[in-house]
Amino acid sequence: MKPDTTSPNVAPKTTADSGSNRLSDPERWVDDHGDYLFRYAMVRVRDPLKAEDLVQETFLAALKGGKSFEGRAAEKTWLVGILKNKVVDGFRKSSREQSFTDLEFYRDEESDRFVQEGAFKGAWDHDLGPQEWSADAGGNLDSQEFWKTFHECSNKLPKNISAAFLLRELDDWETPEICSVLGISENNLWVMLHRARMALRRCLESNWFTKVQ
Amino acid sequence: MNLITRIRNRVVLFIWKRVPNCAEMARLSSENLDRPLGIKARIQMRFHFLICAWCSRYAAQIGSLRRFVRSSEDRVPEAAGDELTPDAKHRIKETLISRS
Repeated sequence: MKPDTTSPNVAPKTTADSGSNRLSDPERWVDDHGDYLFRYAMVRVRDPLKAEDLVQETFLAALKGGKSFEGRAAEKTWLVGILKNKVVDGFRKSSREQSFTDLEFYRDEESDRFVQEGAFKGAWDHDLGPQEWSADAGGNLDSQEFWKTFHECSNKLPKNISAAFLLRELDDWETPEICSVLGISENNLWVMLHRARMALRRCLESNWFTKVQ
Repeated sequence: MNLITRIRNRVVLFIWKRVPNCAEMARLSSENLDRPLGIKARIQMRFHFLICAWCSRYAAQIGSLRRFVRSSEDRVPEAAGDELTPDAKHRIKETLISRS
């Protein structure tokens, strides 16, 4: 977040100037970054009204900040940074309002896939356990269809569980940070992440990796 | 049953009785992605993987989930395809203009 070095005669505190990338041009701003920010928020909060609010708050905060950047990429990065904090603040607030755990929903989600009794109780049922995924799994990452399937699968997770999963896997947060934001214990978080991975793995397997394309 | 199969089954059963079962392994494999596990758990997991292709696959596949999302951070929101409605854009612009 450096001051605009291309116009050295502009004092950083003035917000109205002629720079073409000035953030004081809210209309261009919404057109350039609105959808991107909205998607970013939607994937995490899964509520269009909340996501819209977050985007608006982000722009308002940015307007107050009154910084300018060379090029859209730097501008976008800055805005995403603001939005990220807003999303996290939202999680903090809602974790105070209600318990963030939703474990009952996922209790023993896959218990039917394990052998129920006998010497091998608790072993994967050979037909229902994890199957071999097609070898070209790496190529999937370029496929729009794959990401659609991925999205559909992660959307099936309960909100709280998917929020925890995305903070961990998408945003690469360490577990203590996630616990403090969501107001849950580490043990709870591990169970949530376990459930998320189990459900997502299962969904991707049946809807993508072992599906006849 | 020939001798080799019999020995193999004995070995599998011997290991199976001394390691966590698959349900527990699934839990441990997940935890392994979030924190370092103790030496005992790691050794038990190794032995379990020796006799169980399903748990090996499971551990590899939940690891892949992480690889997928981290390698393509923007692809997840993109695939969702959500966009601000024209109305929403208009509302936000109005608010911004009124506050600037």
